[in-house]
Amino acid sequence: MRRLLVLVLVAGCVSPSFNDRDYELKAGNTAKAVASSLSTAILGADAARRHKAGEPYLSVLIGNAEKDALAVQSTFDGVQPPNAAADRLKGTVDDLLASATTGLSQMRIACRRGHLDRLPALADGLRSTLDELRFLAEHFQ
Amino acid sequence: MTGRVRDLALHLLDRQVVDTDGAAVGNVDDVELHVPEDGSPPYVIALLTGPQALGPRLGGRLGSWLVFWSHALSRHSGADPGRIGMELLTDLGAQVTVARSRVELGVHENEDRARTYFVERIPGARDARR
Amino acid sequence: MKVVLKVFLGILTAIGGFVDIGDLVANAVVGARFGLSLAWVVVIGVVGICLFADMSGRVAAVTGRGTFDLVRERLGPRAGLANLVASTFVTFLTLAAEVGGVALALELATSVSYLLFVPLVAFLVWFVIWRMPFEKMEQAFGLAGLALLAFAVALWQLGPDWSELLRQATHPSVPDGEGHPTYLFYAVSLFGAAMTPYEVFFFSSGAVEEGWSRKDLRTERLNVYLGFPLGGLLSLAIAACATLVLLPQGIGVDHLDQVALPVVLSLGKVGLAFLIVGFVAATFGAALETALSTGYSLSQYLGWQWGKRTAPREAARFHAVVLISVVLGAMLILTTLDPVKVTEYSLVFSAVALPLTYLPILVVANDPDYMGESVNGRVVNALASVYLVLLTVVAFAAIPLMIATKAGQ
Repeated sequence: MRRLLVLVLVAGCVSPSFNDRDYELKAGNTAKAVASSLSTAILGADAARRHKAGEPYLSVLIGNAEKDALAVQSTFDGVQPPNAAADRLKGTVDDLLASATTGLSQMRIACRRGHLDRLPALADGLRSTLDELRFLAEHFQ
Repeated sequence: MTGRVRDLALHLLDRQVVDTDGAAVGNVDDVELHVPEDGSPPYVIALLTGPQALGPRLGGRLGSWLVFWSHALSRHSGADPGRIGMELLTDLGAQVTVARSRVELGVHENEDRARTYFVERIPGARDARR
Repeated sequence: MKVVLKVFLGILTAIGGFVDIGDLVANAVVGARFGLSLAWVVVIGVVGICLFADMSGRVAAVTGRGTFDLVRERLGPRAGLANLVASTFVTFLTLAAEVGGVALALELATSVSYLLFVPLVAFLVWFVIWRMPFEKMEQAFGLAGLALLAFAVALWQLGPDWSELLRQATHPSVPDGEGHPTYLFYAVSLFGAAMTPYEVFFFSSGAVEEGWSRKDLRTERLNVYLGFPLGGLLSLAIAACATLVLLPQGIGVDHLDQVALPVVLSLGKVGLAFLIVGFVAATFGAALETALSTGYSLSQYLGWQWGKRTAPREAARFHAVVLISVVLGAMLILTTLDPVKVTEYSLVFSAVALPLTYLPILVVANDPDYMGESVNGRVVNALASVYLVLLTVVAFAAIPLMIATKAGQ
């Protein structure tokens, strides 16, 4: 559903000015950075599924991924969207970032409580967000 | 050593000076020249070592700053740099060897101070570990 | 067995130079972004450091003099001082980062924040320098550092398409989506990492500490030609692991935990255990190397008694400098400055100091007054001259590239 929304949005995006293009690039870089954090955590969950890593390592890995994603999110929040089209783009990116950071913090909490068995399910829930972030990142390169 | 002709800058300046025990005394930071009145070539009569000798060679503000502070912190040697007479030299190779120990040379005030007030107060400072 | 124990000076030097905290991460960053297309830089770096470390080790064995002694004597007090300031600054920043790096490795094992480990690590670094005999020190940390070979094992376990990896390594090209300046910036960083000046300060002074003489020249060569290629191999293995696991996922590496991820995925908990031992040993070894190098270069410039072979009271100013730099380094890292970022920047600055360090070594290694029959051969001189040109180009390009690419972002 959201993939569709992203597609529609992207189709409507023609950059009329430098400002718009600049904003799109920032959105793309934001998506790329958060996708990297998500992928890291998902690989970590994969290691947990296969009993290849313990709690201390995964807490650090997922904790750092979450911290990075939050930092990127707050930087993007500080960027002023130049016009209405950019507002729509911002809305989409914001939603994706929110679902990424929420998912990451759920994973971090589960991990620190020692529920490593819950990580794979939580990670699976994040895959669609990851796909959309990657799609955005690729499109606004 | 007397009477040998060497390129001063290349063979003497900035070399390491070691004492009879093979321990480092300092660098040849500068030299004291004697200029004979009869017009014959000048020759080296002493090696100078320590910040008061290095400062003037560095020159500039940094050099004078170095001289000022080492003078201010120095208790007995005053404005004079450490001085080692040429007659004490026994070898001039990759290192300059002198025929006295560091203690006898008395050019070691800062090392002594670092030892007495700092390093020797830490347990184990006297043990050599090989 | 005796021969085996003698090569750890070279191994520890190389591990401290090639896989310290900054390089552990930088190698993975490069692998995850550029694949193996920068592998040629590592090869050029290994050849260069072998060339100059061999010269500095030979000079140390024949004359008993450390590298900075030569720097001052050949460049004079002023240019020598410029080099001292530049390289000590770099070495000190690296020392600070390594103290943080050991703490980061311990964090991976315990999930306790690395900042809590910093004071303990700093104390241990100083304590080892204060009490542990030089040979025992290099053997312990050199040997434990070999646990990083887990990267090579993991690479083999990951079962890559070797011919594809080889193709990437032998056909360097800038990947899509990356600019040429960024590519060059990372090339300069990797080259700077391979040739950081503190490696020759440590290696040559270590040779003096071990009392090498003309008859140890074979040991010296063995150290160089075993140690540094091993360091290069480790850094290539790290990059290749990142290429296989992290690059396809679009992961940009920022942390030590991500560097370990490919090994965790292929070798599991045992692999991680080896890796943590290796991380701790390599970063601790690099901390020792840089802390000692700070003392070595300052003492040699000023003609002070230096080294661990006598009781600390006999080299009071040297030990005072080492202690003070370890304390200041720990304080710098306790400001929560990211250790990984610190070394990334220090690598670039070290590139600037390179020609001033390596030129005097080349000059003295050619001086028959010092070296007798052990002067450089013609091939070595020809190669070394090419490298000096390269080092100069890199020195001038480093900072503009850093500014132009915002340090590789």
